[in-house]
Amino acid sequence: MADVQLKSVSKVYGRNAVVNDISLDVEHGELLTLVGPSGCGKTTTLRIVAGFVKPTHGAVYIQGKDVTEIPPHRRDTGMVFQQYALFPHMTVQKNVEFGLAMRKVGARERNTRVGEALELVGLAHLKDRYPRQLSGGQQQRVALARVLVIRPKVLLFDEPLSNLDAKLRLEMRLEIRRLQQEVGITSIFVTHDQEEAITISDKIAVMNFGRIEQTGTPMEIFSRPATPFVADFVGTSNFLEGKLAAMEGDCAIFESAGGLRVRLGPSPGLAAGDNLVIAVRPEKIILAEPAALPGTENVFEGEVAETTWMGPLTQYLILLKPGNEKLVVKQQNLDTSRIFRKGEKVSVRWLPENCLRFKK
Amino acid sequence: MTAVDKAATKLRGKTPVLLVLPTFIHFCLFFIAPLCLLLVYSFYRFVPGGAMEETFVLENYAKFILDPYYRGIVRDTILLGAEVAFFTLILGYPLAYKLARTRSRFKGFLYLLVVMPLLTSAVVRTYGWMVILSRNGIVNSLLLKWGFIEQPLRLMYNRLGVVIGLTEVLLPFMTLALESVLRNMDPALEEAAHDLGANSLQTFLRVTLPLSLPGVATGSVLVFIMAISAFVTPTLMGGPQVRVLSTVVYEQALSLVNWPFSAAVAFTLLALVGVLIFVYNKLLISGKSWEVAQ
Repeated sequence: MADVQLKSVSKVYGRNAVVNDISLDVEHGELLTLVGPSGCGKTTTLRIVAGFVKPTHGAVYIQGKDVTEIPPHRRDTGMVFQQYALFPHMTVQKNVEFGLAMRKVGARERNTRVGEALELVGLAHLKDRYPRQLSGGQQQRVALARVLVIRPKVLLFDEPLSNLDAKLRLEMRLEIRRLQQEVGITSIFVTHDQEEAITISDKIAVMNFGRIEQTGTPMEIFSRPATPFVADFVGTSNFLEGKLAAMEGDCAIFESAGGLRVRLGPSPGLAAGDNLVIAVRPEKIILAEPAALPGTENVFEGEVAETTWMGPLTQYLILLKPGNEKLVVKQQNLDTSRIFRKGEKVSVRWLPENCLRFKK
Repeated sequence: MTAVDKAATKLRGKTPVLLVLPTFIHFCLFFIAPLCLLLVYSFYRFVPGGAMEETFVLENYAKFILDPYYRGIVRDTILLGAEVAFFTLILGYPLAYKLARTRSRFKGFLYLLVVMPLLTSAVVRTYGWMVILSRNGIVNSLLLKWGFIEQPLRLMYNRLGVVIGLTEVLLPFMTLALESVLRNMDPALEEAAHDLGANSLQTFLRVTLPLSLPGVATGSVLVFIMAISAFVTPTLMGGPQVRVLSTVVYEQALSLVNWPFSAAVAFTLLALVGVLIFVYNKLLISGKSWEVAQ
């Protein structure tokens, strides 16, 4: 049975459903990430699990028990806040001890467990400092130790990395994942950063406008997005709108509004005449000199409208002939690759199986 | 650069000084100077009949400090200040908390309600209290009617009246002092405490209250000082039998024309306030070590 379950949970403010009929299962020991743009309801969903927000409809179960009516302090969740929310008037030791003191754990055991928790995050030597004397990363670790020490039933992370600089963020991301796996506590992690979601999660739920668009493993979400929104939010995608022009055996031929004829991979369940949106990821597109690509399948001619050199990658904006449809292409900057300038003619190509298809 | 430009540049550097100059002169002329004069008076000798002998004696201070009657008044005054500070704290804290956390559209209006007592004149306010608290006032009539009491209670023209009146007038200072501290406190701190297993009372005692102590101190000191130096409210609400330091100063200076003694009492009051502010500053700095630690 799932460790945390949301059953048709909604939160309505006035006429605005911030969370709209969400159902979710988080298995024991699993790290599930709620990801989505700001205002999609992911933080509200997390706060519903913690008990800070009471759902308008639906129920929350933690380890099989209905906790919908139970106040936060009796839910046994451990939350890491965006701004860490360390108690500024307490030392690191006292901060970490807080949850144990509330649980009336004896002084001796308290001391040992605080010591262990601080050891786990590598801050044992700073236990007498006040939060303001610590760097952002260190405060983050204290916040982690503070929730780990109470061995909660669920760990909740509310965009915990958003206040750290880029490098530290990557480091802490791995650290959180390592600790979570070490202690094996079921976790829900909220972020707006899809890359963060992909790298640390066992399972991802992509949210938009208060609803879950898709739930799955990072790989499922990335390679088989269920909706155009997911295809664009997790990784990025080029979208082409149009119709299914013909079926050639198992494979479909798609014709875009701009007149491109694109061969799709095996497409069971589609019929000629269907309105479709197809998506192609920028990194799946090959770029070459005009007429230099072998074969004719999904090879198109175009012109470079914009070149952005990004270090390891170069990003191009290509205008495709004949319909001037825009295509973003990302190329690895290998020794052999050449950088195309604005205005140069190029040809592009992608494999039929790299076309994601969405019925309209 | 011409000479005029140079002069202008020079002047511009002094602009801040020039801007505060009028206030500074006003302050010196009408506050510091009379105060100095009063200090000198407090060492003169009183000659019955209203004159002063220009000498240097400590007898005014000695009389004030040694006479048990005046010592009693000092004690009463301090007690009054403490009581008023206590009641404003008890009444003001929930108010300040609500005000700091509310997301109501009427927030501005709520602030106005809080400071309303300050916008009313003391005389109007006191007449209002008379309607409510006097022998035939609303409170007494209701209590008599419902049979809780047989004789009207004395709610005014005594010490109780002064406490009620001062608590009302000074409540805004306490509320605003607390509110500013509570507003700047991250609500996530309270949520973190709840999340870690603290109930509402534990959260308040362990997190909210300790973090709001600077506001409690500021509000209490402010209210205490204003309560012990208040004159109008004790006179109007307390009547002739309530005596505090400020009424003694008034009575000595204007009824008995004993300026030296009156000045000595006034300076004792001032010294009391000075000591309090000094202690407050010391406490605030040591108490917030976690904040200045970095």
